[in-house]
Amino acid sequence: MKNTIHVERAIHNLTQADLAERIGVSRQTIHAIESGKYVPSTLLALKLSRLFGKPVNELFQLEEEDF
Amino acid sequence: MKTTILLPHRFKAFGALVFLPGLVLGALAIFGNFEFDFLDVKLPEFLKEKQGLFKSTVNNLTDELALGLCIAGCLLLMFSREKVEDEFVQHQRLLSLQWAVLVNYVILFVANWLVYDGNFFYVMTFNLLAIPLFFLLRFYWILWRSNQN
Repeated sequence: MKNTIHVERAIHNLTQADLAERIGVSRQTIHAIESGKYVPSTLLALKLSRLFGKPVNELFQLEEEDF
Repeated sequence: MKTTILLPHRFKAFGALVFLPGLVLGALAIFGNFEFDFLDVKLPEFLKEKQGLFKSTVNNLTDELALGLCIAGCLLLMFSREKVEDEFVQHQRLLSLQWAVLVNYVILFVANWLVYDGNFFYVMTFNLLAIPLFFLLRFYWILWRSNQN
């Protein structure tokens, strides 16, 4: 699974630490999600979706290997 | 996410303060036969032998104190919240526990065939604390590494 959190963060001019604080997780968690090492829960995905004002489908996309 | 069975973060430092003296005392007791004289206590004999319900015997509680401190310290270290205890940290907790159990039993399985008699006593002694120790090593290694980025 890939995601566009890194891009959205740049658009909104947020650092990893800023974003982490906004959605109530640690900076390490944001880093782990961006680098594809951790797949967040639906809850966290929805929080990101609300913060960036975009549907979850636009923030996270399935890849070939996920099927 | 609700994390119900974790203690507040401050218990972690307390855990280290309990664990380290326990570890030193345990090492002294095992390898140096060290004992505190004031810990000689009278116990019912059946706690030591298979018989003697109404007799008493003297036992030194230095090793019991050491293991007690080690276990209590490990539990406090393992079950204290991180400063930010989020779902990623929770995920790492579970992975670390799974990893620790696996490593522990692989080592035990190998040691079972390679270590005999009196030496196996040391394996079993280490085994008492192996799961928490492997857990803590793996868990804090992962958190430290993700903090470097």
